[in-house]
Amino acid sequence: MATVQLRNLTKRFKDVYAVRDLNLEIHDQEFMSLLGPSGCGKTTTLNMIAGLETPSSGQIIIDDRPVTHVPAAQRDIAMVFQTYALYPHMTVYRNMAFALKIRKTPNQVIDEQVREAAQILGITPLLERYPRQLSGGQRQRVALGRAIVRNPKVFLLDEPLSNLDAVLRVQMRAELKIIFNRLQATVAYVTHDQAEAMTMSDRVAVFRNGVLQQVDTPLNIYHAPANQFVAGFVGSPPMNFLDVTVSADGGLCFGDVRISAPPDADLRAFIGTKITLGVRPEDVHLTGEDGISGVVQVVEQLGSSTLLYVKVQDNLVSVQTPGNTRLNVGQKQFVRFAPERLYLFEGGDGKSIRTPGIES
Amino acid sequence: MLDEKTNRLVDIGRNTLRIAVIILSLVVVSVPFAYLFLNSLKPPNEFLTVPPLIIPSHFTLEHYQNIFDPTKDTVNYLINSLVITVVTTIIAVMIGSLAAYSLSRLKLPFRLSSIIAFAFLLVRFYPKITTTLPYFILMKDLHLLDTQAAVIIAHVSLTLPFVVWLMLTFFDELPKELDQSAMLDGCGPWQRFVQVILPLTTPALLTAAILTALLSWNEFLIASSVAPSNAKTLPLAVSSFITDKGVQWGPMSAMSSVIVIPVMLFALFAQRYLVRGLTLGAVKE
Repeated sequence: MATVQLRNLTKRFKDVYAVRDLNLEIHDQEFMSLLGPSGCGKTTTLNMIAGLETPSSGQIIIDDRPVTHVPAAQRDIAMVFQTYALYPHMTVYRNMAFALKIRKTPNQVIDEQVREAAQILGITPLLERYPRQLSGGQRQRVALGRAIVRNPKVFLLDEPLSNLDAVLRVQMRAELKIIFNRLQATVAYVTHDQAEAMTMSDRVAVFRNGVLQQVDTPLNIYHAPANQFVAGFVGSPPMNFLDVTVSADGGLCFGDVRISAPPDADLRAFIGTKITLGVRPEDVHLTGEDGISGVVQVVEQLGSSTLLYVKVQDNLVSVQTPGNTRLNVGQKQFVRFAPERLYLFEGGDGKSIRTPGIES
Repeated sequence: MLDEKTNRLVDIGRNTLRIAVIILSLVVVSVPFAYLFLNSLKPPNEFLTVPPLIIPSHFTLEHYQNIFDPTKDTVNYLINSLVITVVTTIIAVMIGSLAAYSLSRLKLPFRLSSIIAFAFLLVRFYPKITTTLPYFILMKDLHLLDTQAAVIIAHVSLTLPFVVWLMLTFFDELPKELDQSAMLDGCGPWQRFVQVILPLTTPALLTAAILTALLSWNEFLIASSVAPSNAKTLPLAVSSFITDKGVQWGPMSAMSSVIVIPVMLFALFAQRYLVRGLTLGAVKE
């Protein structure tokens, strides 16, 4: 397996930057997710690693060897496409054997490798079928098998689960994790689904408008986001954001509400200015009479939990409560933000001032 | 009950109408050919009778004997036509599909791909007769007049735009991920084209081949200007039955019938492979 280093990588389409000055290292045997909304540059980055796109500037290094201008065919990289891109005129077996055939691998070795990969993926009974005779999940597996067979230096996966239905997606998510653990592979995995990124990755790289926002472990991304964008993008339901003013005594004020800032937050530089307060729905609690008052606007019963949208001053705050919570729209409620779980972001660029972090 | 009955009547009415339209189209298309074929079997004195005789009084093969008489060059014309058509088709389809693939996949700046593709189309905009004289002069200068090569060159240039455009549409429809996937599997451009793209466009290639072959096989104008005798093709041979001593209706009909046979056989053979939808399952729609 191998490492991948991206140095000052930039891709420009005319005047638009798809990827801007990207520095990223994927370690040996690491499962790295590239996460972000559509159009954030994650697929372009993947295509550049694969050699399907040429960077406008910067360098790509695979295993200490610069490959920026090496053709895709010679990079020893396997890619699983969002659309699978199976060869329709070949059986599953020939699809999987194709890359090895092109590399003039002896037939016996090809046969062994194809059958082993088919075994891992549970597609042995499908080997003689054509792609058109397979279901979405089966095609997905074949696409994966085609990559595995080659035993490449790096696996690139471009939203491989996005074409599957919800149930299958969750199931394949777990399977992929098991498979790549077993292969001890270096993987770059593009997704816009934060659940996939969080559950499968060793580290997650979050992108926005072609710029890398943060690279860290899933838990750090969640509990110690680098900025407001990362905080808002990761987490479901998403984090609540409130514009607050820092008072002279270090309190956070919005409307006529004043809550005290977490004691470890140094807000001296922000006194009198507007900053953004972030709080995740699971860190907002319903209380008796001593909290901030609000009115329930929407009740979403999800079964395992109930999501409330409570209007507090002019803000709609989402609150995650136990599944058996029974509340009606229009009801008055008091909420409390868990003080140690508050996130604070600078007003302008949304840089983090204070995050809860992970308790050690 | 009543409703069911009315529905059935409407169904029958619709079907009858459909069948009537099909039969009418079939008649319009096939009657001239049937008449031609019957003429080729007619005794010479029955051609200009009034009213015209559709079915001959008796069938004769004398016109066929006449055109295949060893003193006549019909076999030569047939060979000329076959060689010219086959070579034209092979060259046009080969070059045309390669050109179309490049146009479809190359990322050229300034929309150059579209401009080149349009240039191919442009040469088909003007009437063929306008290029006939230039072809004649070109072939004369190249010392190719009255050779098969002259006709082949002209026919390739006539059919190439058509092949390029037909194949371009097909290549554009093929998902680019297939190319990319093949690229990552280690294929060079040629392997990609031959092993992945061509098998998926076989129906299109055959369509292009059939239409190119028909065009070349039937082409008259340019062939008549650059190949008056040695490289004469069958359509020219047919026209040569119109002589200063009158029209030889019998041999002309026989020759015309002969022209059709190879084309028919070819079309019958090729249509089996004209199965669309082979790309189904390549990518998820």
